[in-house]
Parts: sequence; C-alpha cells; structure tokens
Amino acid sequence: MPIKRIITGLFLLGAFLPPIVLLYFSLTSRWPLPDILPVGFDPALWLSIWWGANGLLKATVLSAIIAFPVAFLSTALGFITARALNNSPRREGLMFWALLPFAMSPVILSLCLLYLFLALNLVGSVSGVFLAQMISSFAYAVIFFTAFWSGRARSLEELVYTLGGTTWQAFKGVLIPASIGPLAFCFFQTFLLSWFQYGMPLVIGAGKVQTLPVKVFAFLGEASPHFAAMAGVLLIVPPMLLLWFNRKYLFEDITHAA
Amino acid sequence: MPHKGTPLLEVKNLSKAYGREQVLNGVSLTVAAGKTMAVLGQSGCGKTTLLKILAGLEGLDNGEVILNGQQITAAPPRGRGMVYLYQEALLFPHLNVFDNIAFGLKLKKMPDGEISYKVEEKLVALGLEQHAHKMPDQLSGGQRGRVNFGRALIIKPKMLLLDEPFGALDTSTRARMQNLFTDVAHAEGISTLFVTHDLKEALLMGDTFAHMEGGNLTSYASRDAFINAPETGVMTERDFWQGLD
Repeated sequence: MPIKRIITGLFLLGAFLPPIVLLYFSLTSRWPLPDILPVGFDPALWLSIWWGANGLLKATVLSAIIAFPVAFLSTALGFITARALNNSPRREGLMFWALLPFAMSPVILSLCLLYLFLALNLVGSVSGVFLAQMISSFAYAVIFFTAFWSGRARSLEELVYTLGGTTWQAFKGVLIPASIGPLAFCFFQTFLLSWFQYGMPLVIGAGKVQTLPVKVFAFLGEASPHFAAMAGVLLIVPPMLLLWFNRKYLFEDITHAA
Repeated sequence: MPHKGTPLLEVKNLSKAYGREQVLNGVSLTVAAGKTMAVLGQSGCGKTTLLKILAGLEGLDNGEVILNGQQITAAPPRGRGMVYLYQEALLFPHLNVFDNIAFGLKLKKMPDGEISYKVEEKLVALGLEQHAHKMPDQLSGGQRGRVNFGRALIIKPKMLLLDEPFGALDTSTRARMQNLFTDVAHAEGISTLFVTHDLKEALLMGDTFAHMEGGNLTSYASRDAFINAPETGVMTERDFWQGLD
C-alpha cells in the first residue's frame, strides 16, 4: 500500500473517529465495569433534549444566539476596520491592540475584563458574554483582513475610484462580491472562536450563561458521559456543516483571492 | 478637450516625502493633449508615487497639478478624469470580460442599451469579441491586458496614467501590447503618462520623454535630446550593441 494512502487513511481516522465515538457514547445509557465500551443502545436519550431535559436544547440555542451574531458582526466590522487601519499612518501602533487579546488565554482575558463588566452590570448576562466574545473575534477579524487589505483589495478599490466610482460603489460593485471567499472564511473562523469558547462564558457568564461548552464541562464534572457526549455531538455538528460548506463552495474563491 | 499638442497636464514643483525619505523633489512636467510622455526610471526612483499623486490616490506635500487648465491638486480621484493602470491587469475577478469593460459606464448609470453598444464596439476594436463571456482566470496575459485597456478607454478619460502596464508580460505578448496601445492611443487621441524602467519601451511608446532618478525628473525638449543625454543610458546601450559587430 503506498505511503500516501496510509497517511490519508490515518488522517481520515483521526478526523472521523472522535465524532463517531462521541455519537456512540451519546446513543448508549450504561457503561458497566469492566466493559471497554458503553452498552445499552438508547436513542431515547436524544428525544429528551426536545422535552428540555438537562438544558441541552437551551444551551444549543444560546450558543447559536451568541456565536452567529458574534461571527457576523466581527467579520463585518473587522473588514471595515482593517481597511481603515491599513490606511492609517499609525497602523503599527494600532495593530498592537488587535494582537493584545491573543497575548493571553481567554480565561485570563476574561478575568482582566471582569471588573469592567461588573461595573457595567454585564456579568452573568448573555449580552456580557456576547461583548466579551466580540473582543477576541473582532481582533481576529481585524488581523485576518489587515493582510487582505494590504494586497490586491486596496489596488482594486483605488482602481474603482479612478474609474469614477464612490466608496459605496467600490464596496458594492467590487470589494464585497470579489471578497466573498475571505469574508466567509473569516465568518467561519470567528464562529468557531465563539462557538467553542469556554473561558469567557464561564467567567463573564458567572454560571448563569450556560453555553454548550460550559454544559460539556458541567456534564463531565457530574460524571455523566452520555449527556456530555450528546453535548459534544451538538457542539461539533454546526462547525462540521460549516466546514463542509466552506470546502464545497468557497475554497476556490479563497485561493483566487489570495 | 484641448486641441492636440496643446498642454493638457501641467505638474508644478511637486514634492513628497515619507517620513525623512524624500521621494519626489520638485517634479515639474507637461503632457500635451493626445500625446504620450514616457518617463524612464529605475525601480524606487519615485515613478509610482508620482502617478499615484496625479491620480489622487496619494497626498502631496507641495506643488500643483493642473489638468485642462483646471486646478485639481485637491480633487478626489473620481473627479479627476484620470485612470491609473497598475503593472498587473487588475481585472475584477467576479465579472466576465463584458462586465469588466462595462464597469465604468455602469458607474455612470448609463442606459443598458448604450452600454451594450459601446462595449460590443470596444470588444471588436480590441479583438476580444470571442471572449466576452469568459472570466478573468480564463484569459491569457495579453487578453487580460486588452480588457484592462478597454475598461479604461471606454469611459474616455482625460488622461491615462500607466505604471509599467506591460511589465508582467512575456516578450512577444509585450511587443504586441505595445503596438496595440500605440495604435489605439493615436486613433483615439489619448493623452498618456507612461512610466517604465525599460529603455526600449520608453522609446517605442513615447512622443515626449523624461527621466527620473532619486525623485528628480528631467524633461527633454526632443527625442534626440533624450537619446543623447548620458543619464538615460541610450548611448551606452547603442554602443554595446554596436560593439558586438
């Protein structure tokens, strides 16, 4: 067997085995000793989600309510901010502020923000978690688009101006349609940043904002592997769908834009 | 539009510095209507900065830019009537050839019928009628260059600012594009400021000539003066080729 096939096989195994194991755990209800794997096929556990049991449905909706707007807003604002940053003579100094959130872990960043959010009465609220996640996602989007604007995008914009276009026409007619790939890619990345975020909902949410990652850790803490696996499956399905969508429809656009 | 040969673009004492680096140092030049001025200069001599300032894409520290008798020093790029073309044919990647060429006319909100007529006419003039519905990544380098020119020429700019537009092409495509541009420029009476680091290209494309070095620009009264000036390197080049005999 050629080595390339072995490597591909190992890669596919590494990619698909964890979700399959998670799915298997979520469809079983018992794990008696000394069995290596759980037993007792019980898909009814999944139905309990719809009855509101264990707060998984609420956590999924809450995570989506936070992650989708965070991704959309941070991508849109990052696109515009990076353009302004690139045209600024103080670009280098301002970039420091965009890189700062990544100089520390999300939990440490959350602790740094805690006093401010307490003063603003945002701790323990969905809006507080949303704002905290916007900080790191927005910073990521700014860094992502700064490189983008220093290349062809800026030249395309200038070309529209000399052809007689306004800023609005440049964005509507060229920059946004020609940047669909990078915009979607950034949306995907910022969605992942927010969707998988554990530290910020934990600290800023103060136990009152139970997103999916918080639920996963809570179930693990309670030694409920089947519910933790269900939460894990719910956690990885949306990113996998987005990844498939990115690969199928947008990868070509991104490589062209680069 | 002024008559052919009368001054169209006048640049007076233009200066620009980036921090402590003086990029343009009191540049003055005149381009006559319907003529091409070729500016010869090595990389980093300030050619691109000069063109970008004239297009309104960069600010200037001192100096004046007068186009067709009107002061445009502080005018925004869209109000200048000057199209700046990059070294690379920057076609809009999401638009086909037809829509790329039609782009400037659509910005002016021209009626669709009129746009179609003008674009079809331009496609034929540039030999692109078979490629109207192709996307930019389906075109050769020469075809992309022609679309780039068509998109600029169709809006009838007062002036074209060309920043080594054939620099990315192979030798034979480059020669074809030089001929095509010369023919189109003379047929349509286009005024052009053409910057290049290629001596032969400068001589082929220019009606008038200038040389740039270290942010300073020297204009020459005639083709002979340009050829005979030691700083342009024409004589050195000629001696080299003659020395091969």
